[in-house]
Formats: sequence, C-alpha cells, structure tokens
Amino acid sequence: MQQSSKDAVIAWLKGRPIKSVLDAPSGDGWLKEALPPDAEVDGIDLYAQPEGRYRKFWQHDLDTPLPKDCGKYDLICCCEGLEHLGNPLLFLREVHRLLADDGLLVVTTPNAWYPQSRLQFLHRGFFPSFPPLAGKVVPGSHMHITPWTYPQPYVYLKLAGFKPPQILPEELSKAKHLHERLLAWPARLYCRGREKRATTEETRAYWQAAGSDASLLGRHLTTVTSKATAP
Amino acid sequence: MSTETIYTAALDLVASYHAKQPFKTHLDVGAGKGRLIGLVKERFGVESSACDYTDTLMKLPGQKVEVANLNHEGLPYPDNTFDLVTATEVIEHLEHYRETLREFYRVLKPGGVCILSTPNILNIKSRLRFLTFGFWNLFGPLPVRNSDLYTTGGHINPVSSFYIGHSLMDAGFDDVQYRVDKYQRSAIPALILFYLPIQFFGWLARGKEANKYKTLDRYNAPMVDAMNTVPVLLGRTIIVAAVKPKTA
Repeated sequence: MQQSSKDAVIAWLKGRPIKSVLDAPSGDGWLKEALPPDAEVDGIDLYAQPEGRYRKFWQHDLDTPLPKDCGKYDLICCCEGLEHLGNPLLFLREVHRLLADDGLLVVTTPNAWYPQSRLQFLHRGFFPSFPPLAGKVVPGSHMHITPWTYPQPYVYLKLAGFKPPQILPEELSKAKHLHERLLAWPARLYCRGREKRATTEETRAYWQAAGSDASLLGRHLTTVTSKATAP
Repeated sequence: MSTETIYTAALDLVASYHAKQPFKTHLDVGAGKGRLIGLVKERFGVESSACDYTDTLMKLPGQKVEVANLNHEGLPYPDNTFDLVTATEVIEHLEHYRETLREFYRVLKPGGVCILSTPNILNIKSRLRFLTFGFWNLFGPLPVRNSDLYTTGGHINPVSSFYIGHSLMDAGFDDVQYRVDKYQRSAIPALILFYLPIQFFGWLARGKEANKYKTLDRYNAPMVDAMNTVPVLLGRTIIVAAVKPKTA
C-alpha cells in the first residue's frame, strides 16, 4: 500500500474514538501500528501474521464468508484488498454484518480512472498494477483481478447496504504531468454537466465526487462510508 | 441484451464443437424469452433446460424455466449434468461472475463446453470512451438510484476478454477460444487512427511483461496477444468458449 494512502487514512482516523477494529486484509500490519495502543484490533488475511500482533487473527480467504467468531467492530478497514477479490460484494455484505450500527468502513484501492491508467488501457487493454497473471491462478500469488473506479465501489457499497462513499483526497490525488490534467478534462466536464442537471441531492453529490481531482487524477481511491440499511 | 448476431456467433461456435462431439444436453443460463433455446433445437435438434432470475419472460410454449438468482445462489442442477452451457449477455449483470463460472464448470460433464458472451470493452471505441469519459460502451453511468440490475442499465461488471479467459481457466476450464459477433463499422476510423500507436505501445508493454515482470507464460500469452488484434479492436461483443477437461 502506498504511503500517501496510509497517510490519508491515518489523518482521517486521528481523534476518532475507535475501540474495536477489524483490519481486513491486514497485509504487513501497518494499520495496527498506526492506531492508538488501547484500540482492540483484530486482523484477517490470506497469509499468516507474526504471533501477537493482533488481538485475534484469522488466516482466511476473503472471497468466502468471514469467520463466524468475528465480533462487532466500530471500524473495518479494507486497505488494498478489494482489487484482489473475485467476489467483492460477498465480502462487503459480510463487512456490513460485522460493522456496528454506527460503525465506519474504510476502503482503499488502486484507481483505474487516473489518466495514465486510461492511456494504458487504450494501448494495452490492462490497467497499471493489473498484470496479465501468469498461467492459472496459483494459491498465494499476488493478483489484482478487479479494477475499481469511483462508480464501481459506489454501486457495490450501496448494494451491500452502505451509504454513498466519500472520497478522502490524498497526496497523489493530483496530476503529475500536464497531459494528465488535459486528459482528465473531458471526464471532468462530463461529470460537471451531469452534476448541474442532477435533480436530487444524492445524484448531485455522486457526480461531484466522480468529477473530483481525487476520482479523476488520484492514483488510489480512498473512501469512507457507514451503514445505511440492511443489505 | 442479446441480439441475433450474438446468437448466430454463439451457435457457430456451438456447431464447431458439435461437429467433433455431438451434445445431448444443453443448459441456457439467462434464457430470457428462449430465443437461443429455440435456435439450438432448430439447428441441432436438442432439448434444452432454461435457467433465469424469473420465469415470466419465457415465450417458448412448454419450456420449463428453473428460477435462480445467481447473485445469491448456485445453479439448481446436480454436478456433471450438461454437455453444453450457454450464457449470452449474462455475466455483466452478475455481482460475482467468477463464482458463476465455477458453477458452469460444476454442472458440465467432463468434456462439456461453456459458451458465453459479454460486451467487448476492448473495442477501440470503448477504449477511447473510457479514456475520455471513464465509462466503457454499454457500461454506465449507472443510475444512482433504483438501478435495475437486469437491464443494460444494470451492467455492473465490465470484464475484458482476458479476464473472462483467466476466470474460466481459474475455474478449471481449458482450451479458451474467442470470437466476436460482428465488426463495428463505426470503429474503423478510430482503428485507422490508433492502430499503429496501439500496436507499438502494446508491443513495448508486452516485452516488459515477458522480460522484466515475467508474467507471461504458455497459458496466458495467447490471451494477451489476442487483446490488440483487429477482431477484438473492432468487435462489438466478445464470445468465449472453453472446455471442461475430460480428466480433472
């Protein structure tokens, strides 16, 4: 996970009264280190973790229903996990089940919308950091199989019973080069047009977020949301 | 939504397998009005089973439809039941198409064939639309409210031909083949304009994948190489076939 995304999540977490956290997938355990020492943090990942890092840890495939003995959490973080899943909605519905009614969900993924990514899709048909994957899937291989742009998590989170996600801007939510800024303009104008024509507040907010710098230029999407309804 | 050209392309693929090993049992997933089932019966004389999220669409007299919402449940058939499974214009509506492909594998007999279709997001016009607006042809923007997942407004799952092939192989299938239903004439000017840059930058990227990242091998290289071919750059809909190995 890029440091800029970590920094955005850490800044957002600062000062929030969070007691119980599920880190899924827990990766190298950076989130545990970033949280206050009194926070009770559980972890779950496809790969084993060093003993004692988390209060509870499950080695588990997130493409299958989450363990029955998981508790309820104030905060669930899915940092750089969703792009690895073949069945992300199953995971999000499980997260909805485990999240406290007033709990919060943080999701970070690579952003397939940033201009360099769109250019690469034009000439290759693949997105950056989505390799062709060697041969058949080998358990344990590091794979990005599901690309995300702001509209995708929006739909999936809503289908899973969450409120529309908000994007957290981060350091890399801006153009590095002039051509990136130029390439983003057609989409920006399109989103602005749709925002102006929106007839509901929800639609307006959607197009505003979709046309933001973080959505159109950011290397990563960092979003936060909370429960809306039963899924 | 399937069209006559999609059905024709799918049936041509079916015919190529039928010539090698005639099939007796067929399942059409997302059967809709039963058009493909009617064509299969007409051309191959085979009775078909139908499965869809509703049985209210079926127009074929006497055709039974098994109702299953594949977003929440598996196919209502035992293992190793069918010689052929078809699913035209279905996977783009599904929340987890990989799980559905595993279901296709489960209900197919060893040696059975799976044929499916989905909008071709690698079409040059679709790539350019994604470059400029961020959405592929036939994919979004989805309605913000009350999205009906079973219309073109419900295309929630854009999947390129490569990832379909990868998912099929992940599910256990072999011998993945691609076709397109028809060339889009309106894509030809864009192809002329962008063909050389696409081939050049695609060649550079392929070299990097092969030599630096070592992500290409004999399984996926043919699927990668197919992505920048003229049929894929011009094709409107991608038709994919794969075979369940006779021995696991």
